[in-house]
Amino acid sequence: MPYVPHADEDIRQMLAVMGLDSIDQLFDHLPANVRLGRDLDLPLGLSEEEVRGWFRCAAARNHGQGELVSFLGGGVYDTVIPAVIDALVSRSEFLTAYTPYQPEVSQGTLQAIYEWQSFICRLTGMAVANASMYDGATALAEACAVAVHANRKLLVVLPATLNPRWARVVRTSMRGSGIQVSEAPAGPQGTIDPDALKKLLASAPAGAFVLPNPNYLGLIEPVDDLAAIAKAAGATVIAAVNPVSLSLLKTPAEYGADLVVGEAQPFGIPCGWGGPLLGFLACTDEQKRRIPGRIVGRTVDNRGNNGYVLTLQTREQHIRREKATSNICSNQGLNMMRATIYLSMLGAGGLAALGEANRVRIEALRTRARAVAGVTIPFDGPVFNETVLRLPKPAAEFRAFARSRGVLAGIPLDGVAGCGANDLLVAVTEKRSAAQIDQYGALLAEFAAVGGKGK
Amino acid sequence: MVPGDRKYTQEHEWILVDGANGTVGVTEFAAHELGDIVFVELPAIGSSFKQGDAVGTIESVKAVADLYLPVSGEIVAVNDDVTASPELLNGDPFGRGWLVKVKLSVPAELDALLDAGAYGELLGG
Amino acid sequence: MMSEDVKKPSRWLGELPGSVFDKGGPGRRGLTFARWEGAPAPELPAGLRRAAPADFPALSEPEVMRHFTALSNLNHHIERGMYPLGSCTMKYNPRVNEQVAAMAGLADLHPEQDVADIQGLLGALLHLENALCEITGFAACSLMPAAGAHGEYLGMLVIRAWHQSRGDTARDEILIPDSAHGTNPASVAIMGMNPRTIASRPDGRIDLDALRSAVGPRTAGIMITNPNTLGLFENDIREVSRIVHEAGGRLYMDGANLNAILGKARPGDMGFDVVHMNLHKTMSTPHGGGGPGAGPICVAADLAPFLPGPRIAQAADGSFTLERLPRQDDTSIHAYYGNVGVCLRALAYILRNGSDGLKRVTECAVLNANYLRHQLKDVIEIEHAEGCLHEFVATGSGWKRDFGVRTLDIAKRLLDYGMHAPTVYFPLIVEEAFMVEPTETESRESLDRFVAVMKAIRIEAETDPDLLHGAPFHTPVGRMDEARAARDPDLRWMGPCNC
Repeated sequence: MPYVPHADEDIRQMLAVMGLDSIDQLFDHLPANVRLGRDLDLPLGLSEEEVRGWFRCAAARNHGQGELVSFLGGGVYDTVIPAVIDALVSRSEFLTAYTPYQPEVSQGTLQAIYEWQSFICRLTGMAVANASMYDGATALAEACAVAVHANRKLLVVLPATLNPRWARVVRTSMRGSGIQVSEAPAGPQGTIDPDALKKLLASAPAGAFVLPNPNYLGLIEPVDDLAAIAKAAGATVIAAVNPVSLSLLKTPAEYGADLVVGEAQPFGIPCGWGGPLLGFLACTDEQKRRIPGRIVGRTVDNRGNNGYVLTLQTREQHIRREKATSNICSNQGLNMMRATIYLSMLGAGGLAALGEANRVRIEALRTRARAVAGVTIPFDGPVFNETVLRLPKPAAEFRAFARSRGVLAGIPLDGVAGCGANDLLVAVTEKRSAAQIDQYGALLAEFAAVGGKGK
Repeated sequence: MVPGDRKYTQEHEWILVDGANGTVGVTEFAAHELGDIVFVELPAIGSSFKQGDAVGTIESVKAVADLYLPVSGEIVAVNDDVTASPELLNGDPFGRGWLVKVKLSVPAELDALLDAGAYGELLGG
Repeated sequence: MMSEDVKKPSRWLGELPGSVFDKGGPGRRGLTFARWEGAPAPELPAGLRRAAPADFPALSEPEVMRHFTALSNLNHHIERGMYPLGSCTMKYNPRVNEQVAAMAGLADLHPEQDVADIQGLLGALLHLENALCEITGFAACSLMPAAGAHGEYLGMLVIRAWHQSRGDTARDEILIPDSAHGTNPASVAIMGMNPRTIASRPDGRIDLDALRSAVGPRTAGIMITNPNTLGLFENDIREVSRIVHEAGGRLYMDGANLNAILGKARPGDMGFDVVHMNLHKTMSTPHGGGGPGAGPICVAADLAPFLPGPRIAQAADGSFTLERLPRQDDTSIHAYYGNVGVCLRALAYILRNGSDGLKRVTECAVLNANYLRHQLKDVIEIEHAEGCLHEFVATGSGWKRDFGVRTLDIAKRLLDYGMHAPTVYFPLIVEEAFMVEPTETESRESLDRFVAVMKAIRIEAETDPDLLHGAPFHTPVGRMDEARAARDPDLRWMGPCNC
């Protein structure tokens, strides 16, 4: 058997020590009416090479972003992953370690979490960050719960410009705990309509207002105005950000957010068909005893050393049980390690370069698209690394056409924030070359001109 | 070590009455059971509660306890020293570690509370 | 066994690595990007920019490698020594799992790609769903939960949706034995339902009389860990199932301890309706210092329509599809489809073991636990006389009474011997609990060493209890001041600490 050290003789000897002669005797006490009484209906075990072959075969039937040129985004991005990340996280010391409940033998994990918290605080401008959440969507749902529990107003306002996948997770979660959700509409600019928001907040007191930036359409929201409107109405402001954009954009702290969540997958984590990802959650100092998830603090040991421990644990389920604000236990530890290594590699110089690399590419793509007859940019406000294109025909058709040329063209937006069937969400990252963006423009031109048959 | 000048609850709170107001804290036994107390959350001054309402929380590293008000009334003072330095609760639970002062709305509720002798028996038994 | 230098407190001789924020120097770069050959972009308007750049350190690649390698050297891990952590199933993590999950064509898939581009992946995931259903005895599976607690949450959503679909909206109580893991009551509470604790018998098993008097028209269901947190099988489980079902509730099994029953007994055959599995426990995917794990759930046939969409299915032509059902369209617990990479690792483990290997896993996990329990019975008091399954609970109350040494002290001293501490002070119903789960991947020599170390520590407790009170001595840091950490939280780097 692959991973059990014992040979039959070892088993015999161990049983003999206990005065037994068969391993079945250890299961004698299982009630007869629940015993399986047959072998599991699964194939017999394979060799390691056969397992590798099985997966090689499965992988060969897929076509990933390594093979195709990807302009897909919407929260998950095809980004540069430096080799040191895999080298470091494949070390047993990180890969196989348990949750750091024994600080004396877990300082590596604990210090890395503390450094992650510090990176996220510096990026967002917030005072406190936790060790990680499952993904950006669940981080947002948890932040909404924190907000409404803190101010006892059981209504959450989600804007139409929020990632619809995230909105669905939040709605599911709020429905469970009896919290109402209302939607703030988008205006003609593709951003949240401030007047409509004002009216909405006046009609019912909201506990939380979710402010996505950049929003799902890639647009930078008028964050100062929107946050001020929400705060004046007494709502807690939750910023939902693409953390890469904070290399350049105004921080949530600067526009007064109380809680900040986001998806940190672009920081060195493979897309992996959407999981495992890396949610993060940060907050002001006032909220620190309310947020979910593990938090690491610095302290001293009995020898006078500085060291790190899990702290503020009374917030968590293993102590507060049914009174805990969240049930989260396992988180995304190793992906947090990946992101911490990534941010250390990126450093001060890389951060600015990364932001500009994204912006220069999306501006180039927009310029190229504008030049194509029949293609427009319906919302031309400032963007960071994503944009909406309005095509002369259905976006799904262009997607199929581009795919036939080896390009993943984007996400059709039909029904999202007032978008129609011809609208497509297109993303770039630092990985896209000028030539690939040119190719994208050429595909658009061909599609618009001759109708670009599908596959 | 149960001072004789005050009344007690089954949940290990004490109340020391002075005229219309009572000072409320938790007993040495409760503080010791919790261990090193690291955080205390107290209600807003001016808020009113009924007897037995949970009005605050006391946290140690690995435990949380609710603070139940021994009598009905309005909170007229909270001990900011103890929120700033929660270790006061371990060091001097019957003195500088007091938690809130309450203006009693139903003084008769005091009659049903334990006196020092009865509370001492509760601990002993 | 116990050499003089182990007995004598001595300091760890390594150096603590210092903060990444204190390293590097201005202008140094680790990561750089491809040169941009296109036109420059217009300036971002000043009103949109952050006031100052984020204050990140600047390190070169060799400095980053050295920093994180230095951090890694401070960690205990499975290749260093045993993790006898009860209820956590810290088994060996096969490296082929890592290899296959990182393959091009799997790791580089974007979640918004067409199904035509992900046929191999969908086939693999459906294969895993079917295997998990066979292992647990259920009809349908959702791989979406990203952790065990997330699976509990989904399980509660499914049970409540089922009640509501029958117009049965008054059922708001979930019964939970007092020996349960803390996530159980928390998962129920965040769903807006009421966890109702029922007292268990001293062996952690359900008290049928307490159960009969607790069920009623408000009962939505019950959450049970089987085998329970004392490593004992719930012998009356079919009767428990009958009582709860007759009262109109459904049965949820916390599958944290599934390693005890693979190929031996199945939750579906015991009368459960839903189970979650911890793939990072039973199916050998790595803990990674706290995650990512995965907590898929399997359910009985009549609950399948309440699983969140989209669902993987196979069409008549053999191709795989993602089907959205109207009922599932407004329900989701993850932005995409869960921790897919973790699921692929678990599938590799199941394929490698097969039906024969999985049964052997459980047999040897139970053998190892019983062997250890037998060998330790003169060293520390074992809670229950009968044989255990994959783990057992001992109590340090005798050591506390006789030597003034607490379970915490034993746990900390084990660290000095290069072993991780067991789970202590859980389950809550056992005083000074000391909970050991060796798993099947520990060799006999490794188990014998654990016994020898425990005997050595017992002698230390008898002769020099203060040694244990001060332990550990050989670890990178000593016992941490947790009260200080919580009183005055220092949660982000703002410079060296003056302490």
